[in-house]
Amino acid sequence: MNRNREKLLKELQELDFRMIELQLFLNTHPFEAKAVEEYNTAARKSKSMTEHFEKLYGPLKLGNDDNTVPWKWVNGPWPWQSYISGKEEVDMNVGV
Amino acid sequence: MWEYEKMLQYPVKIKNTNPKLAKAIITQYGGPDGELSASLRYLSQRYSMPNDIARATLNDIGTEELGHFEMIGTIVHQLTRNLTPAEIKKAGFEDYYADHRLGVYPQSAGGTPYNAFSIQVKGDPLADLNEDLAAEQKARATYENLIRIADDPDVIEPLKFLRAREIVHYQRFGETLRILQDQMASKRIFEVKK
Repeated sequence: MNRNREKLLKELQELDFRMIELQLFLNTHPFEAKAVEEYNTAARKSKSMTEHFEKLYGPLKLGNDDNTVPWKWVNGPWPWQSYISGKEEVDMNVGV
Repeated sequence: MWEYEKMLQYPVKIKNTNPKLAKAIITQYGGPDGELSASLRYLSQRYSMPNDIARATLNDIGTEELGHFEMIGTIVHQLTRNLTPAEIKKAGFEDYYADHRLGVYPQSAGGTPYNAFSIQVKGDPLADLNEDLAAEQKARATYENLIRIADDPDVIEPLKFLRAREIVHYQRFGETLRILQDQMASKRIFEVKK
């Protein structure tokens, strides 16, 4: 179990959840200035934490311009494999 | 279009398998009030919505439901991974296993494959938004049924999260419906001609 990865991912999930919740709220309350501000704060934090996470553990989303060889996107664990962590060998995984 | 984010909306980390429980929970994957139904319903209804608030709300909730579809698939997968034939027989999982082995197939708890008859797209914003309110309540009730029969905190926690989301979506759909009804009421007054 990679504790640090799990911890960072959980913090990111909390921030992303905050953003989704505020997004839905703002769709029906577009003039709530405080919620807009809270959204921006969460988005700022999420952006820098995502960069930090991806530097350590590979991309969460594609579209960055700092990819290296070998291509990391395919590397697990994939989200549904959260019982697996780090370099544990998985079934017929021939990944790099 | 959509972009994939390589993470679940809420953590799912289940230590112990439980194929019997998986067969009940799979109903939120491909059953009548499940997450696939929810996502397809909202993403299909959004085209005939008459204002931007309704279009945005259906678009964004339909998108979030795709993330819930992934969470339920993950729960089913983790509850059934690496089962032995003995465990499969003990849990009465042979019927599912015969058709799908340990794959995750969209079906109801009773085994009916996913069916779009469980959703409607009426093309009438009032009819559709009222359906959406009911859909959120039905999904909430289903999560409560599942929470009642689940006995593993690793499973109950994500189910509680998903139940809470149904309540928030119900709230947002209610606001969307009120905004639309207000617009329609004021429009009708302006249209009266002498």
